[in-house]
Amino acid sequence: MKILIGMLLAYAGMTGLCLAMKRHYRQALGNMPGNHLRWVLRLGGWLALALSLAVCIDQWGGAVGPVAWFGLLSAAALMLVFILPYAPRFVLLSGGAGLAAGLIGTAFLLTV
Amino acid sequence: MKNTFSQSMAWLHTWGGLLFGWILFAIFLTGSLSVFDREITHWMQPEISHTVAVTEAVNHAADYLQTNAPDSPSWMIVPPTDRNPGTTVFWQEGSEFEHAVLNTATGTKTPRQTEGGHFFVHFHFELLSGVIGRWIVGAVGMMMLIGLLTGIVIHKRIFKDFFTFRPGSGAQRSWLDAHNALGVLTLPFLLVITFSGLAIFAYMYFPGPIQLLYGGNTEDREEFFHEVRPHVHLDPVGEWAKLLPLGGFAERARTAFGGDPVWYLTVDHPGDRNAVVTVGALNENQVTLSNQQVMFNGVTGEVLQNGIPLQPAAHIQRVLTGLHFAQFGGYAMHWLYFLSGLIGALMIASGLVLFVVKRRRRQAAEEDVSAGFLKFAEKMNVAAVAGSVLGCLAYLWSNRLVPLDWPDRAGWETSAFFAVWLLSLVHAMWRPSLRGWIEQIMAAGLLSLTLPLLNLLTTDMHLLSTIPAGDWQLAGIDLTAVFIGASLTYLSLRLAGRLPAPVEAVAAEGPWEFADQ
Repeated sequence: MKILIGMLLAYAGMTGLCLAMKRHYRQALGNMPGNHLRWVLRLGGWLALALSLAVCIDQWGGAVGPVAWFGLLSAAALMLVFILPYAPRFVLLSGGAGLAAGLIGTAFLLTV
Repeated sequence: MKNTFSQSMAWLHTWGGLLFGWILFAIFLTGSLSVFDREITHWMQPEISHTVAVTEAVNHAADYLQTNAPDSPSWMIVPPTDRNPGTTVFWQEGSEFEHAVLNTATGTKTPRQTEGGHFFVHFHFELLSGVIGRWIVGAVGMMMLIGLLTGIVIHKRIFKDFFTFRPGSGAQRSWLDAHNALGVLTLPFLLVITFSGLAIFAYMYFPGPIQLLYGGNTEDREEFFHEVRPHVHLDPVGEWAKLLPLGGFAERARTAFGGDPVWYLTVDHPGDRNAVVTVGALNENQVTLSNQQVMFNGVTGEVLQNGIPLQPAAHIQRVLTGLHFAQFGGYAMHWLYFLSGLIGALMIASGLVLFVVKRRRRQAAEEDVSAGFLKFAEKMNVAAVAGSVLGCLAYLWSNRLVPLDWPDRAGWETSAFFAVWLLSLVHAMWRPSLRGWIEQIMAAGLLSLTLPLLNLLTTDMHLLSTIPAGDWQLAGIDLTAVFIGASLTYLSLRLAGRLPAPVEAVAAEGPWEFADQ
């Protein structure tokens, strides 16, 4: 469960960082992002990645958690890289859904 | 060599990568399989099921060793865990270690003697050939590290191209993108796994400091190892005395480990009044590779030492070793290691292909390689990549096909691996390269896809029984084989689609256009 949440957040974070790049934003959405939006995406991306790290540490502890986090980052980024050219429209959708599900999951973890 | 720094680095990356890549791919492939060595061992011994407690298993193993190796100076028992129900015993004979796999419930040898998943581990770290193999793997690993570092240097747009993959923009561009993406995105894993792999045998690869500080003799080296891993040492006194039941030691050690499972149990000079029993723990919630072990006097049962007081440098080495062996973190972590390792293998394979693609396109302009060598390199690529996959599959197939009563049947399984790999090399040299790729990838795909079918025909532990029983460890292997087999078959069909209709056109056109959409 926590592993899935960590993965979703890692994917959402990577999507944010990816869309913050002009080339990929245009690839996925067709138009160019404003500078303001790019900063929002970049910051949001890093925050999601940080949250993912926190979830990993919660799951595995301070020693193993970061190791797992790097693994999830690689897996998330690779998925994104291969989705991007084949299904560019799906990037925003999946990244957004990942973020939503990841945040709901995190909120759930905090309340339990 | 070349004029500028980055040209030199590119040269080193290209040529080092090509020549060492031919072995590196297999090392990464078998290393990835090693992550699931215990599950594979279980799969290869379907006759053994999860039944008895560890204490009983250890007692059975002790009986076996007492009967079959009473005079050996050293025993080792690896009891069953949640991941593998078999018990493995090792005993020293001369300077070699013999081993046998026991049916945990009965303590007798299993009918299906096999190296199991350990075969992949053994190939991974020394190519099954002892010290020489270890040196070869060390050299290859060092080249991998150099390849990663030179790769970073010559990749001028790491961050700009971080998420870039353009499958439709020409073979060379696409392969370079794929090579970069696979390498850059798993770089943390690749750097750590390569560096930690070298660190495991650092004392061997870089003997200078030890020779300087401790001296060059065998006893001097032993002093070094003793300081690295301080432990009580009792010399045999030559008086016979009865060992206490070993199962009891396993149980007492488990209590000392706070419930963590027993990884191994060793006995030094069993039967002597000074017999020493050492029990090591398998810690899943720390990165450091087991530094928890308890040593007992095997005759009196007295605790000689609890834990290993590691020096800081030794502790760092154990952390690196732990990062490499990946015993921690449970199945999610094992899958991440497995997938990352396969991605590393794909990264190497894409680099090998890139070497050929790049030169095929502008062979006239590029003068660093002759047409004959390029052809040779292409064929070597087929054997190195597709061939090693075929070898691993042949190993698993032979486990089901070699009759149980053949003498040295474990040896036959190992031979199957090398025989098929050799066959792949011969086939690759014989066929035009694109056809070599297609045929070997398709063969691998079909062998992998039908592995569960073979399993169904030859054993009781097939998908129709493992899935209903919820035995995902065994079912996982069959299902992974289906997935990999389907992917490889699909790939081979895609490649076959790129085959130009008249065969003669292959040579003129260059078959490497298939990455273009």
